[in-house]
Amino acid sequence: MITVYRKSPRLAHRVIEGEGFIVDPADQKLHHLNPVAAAIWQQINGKRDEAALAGELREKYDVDRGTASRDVKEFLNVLLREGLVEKVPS
Amino acid sequence: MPQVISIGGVALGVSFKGPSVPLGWEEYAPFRVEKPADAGVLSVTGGRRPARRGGASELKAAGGVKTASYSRDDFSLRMSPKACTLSVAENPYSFDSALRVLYSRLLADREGLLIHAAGLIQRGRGFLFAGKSGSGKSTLTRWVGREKALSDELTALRFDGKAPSIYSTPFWGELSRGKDSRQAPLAAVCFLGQGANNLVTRLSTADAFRSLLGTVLWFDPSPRATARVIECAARVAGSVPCLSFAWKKDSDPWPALERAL
Repeated sequence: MITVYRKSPRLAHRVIEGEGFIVDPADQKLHHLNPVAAAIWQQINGKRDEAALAGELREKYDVDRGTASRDVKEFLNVLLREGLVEKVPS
Repeated sequence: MPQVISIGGVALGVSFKGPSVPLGWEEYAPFRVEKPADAGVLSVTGGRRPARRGGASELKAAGGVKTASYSRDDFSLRMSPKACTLSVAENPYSFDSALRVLYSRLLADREGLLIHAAGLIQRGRGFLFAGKSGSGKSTLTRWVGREKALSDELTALRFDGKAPSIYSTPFWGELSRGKDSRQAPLAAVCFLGQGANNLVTRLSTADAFRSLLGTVLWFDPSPRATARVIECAARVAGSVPCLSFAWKKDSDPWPALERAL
């Protein structure tokens, strides 16, 4: 079974000049994403798993497979810890 | 018959159940208008007894796209498309607090925001000076002159078509309330700090957006309503110059600001 990721439906978010901003209305916390993180965030759509997200990142930034996988994994862990994304069995 | 007040161009009818009106209601006279209440009617019931003495409890908020409720010890406010009701303790502070919360939502529903900022008018143009407590909003307002001020604490902003304007509110901080209700097209948003000399730096749209979000008065946990706030803040950040302004106390702020625009 593959695990895909989706953004938490309670959030409001926006990308401005390549930077990501996520507001959690529950605690009014503002999360700020740098351009790489924002690029990954934009690809999270409830249909992509970790590998697919890493593939999107490699395409956008022309980085090697290992770097892309590591960056995506670390970022997803942060997002999961903060409750900003959800794992969905697919 | 409800009396209608307008803040930020949003007209709200206010009717009082029972013989008394909230203490301090006469202070809202500059905001009374003779026009229909396009934001509905707020029915106010006084006499609420706070459960605890002294100080306000934390505000609890709940809501969806069209409804919201806000409550703390001294008031309970419920909003729906057809009506708003307010049960409030009989003192001017509680009613004022409830009205701030209500208008934060009413404005957000209508392409507007209630912002922690002094609103000042210079040569017919509006300037927001946003900052935390102690950043100098009231001091700057005092220096510029009350006659030019829309508020020293909470200013309403609203898009009328493509361009934003700022509006007087009855919500003031250190200075006593203004006696009129005015508006001006927004020329710039200035994030205020203190400095040895007047120093103005232009912010990127992203930095302006981030700074502006930190100044918006907002309590609603609804994602869609919060999304409207974010969209409005993004529009502001992208449509007017947003500046970091370190102000030298008791100096004329306008030359440095005019040069930056």
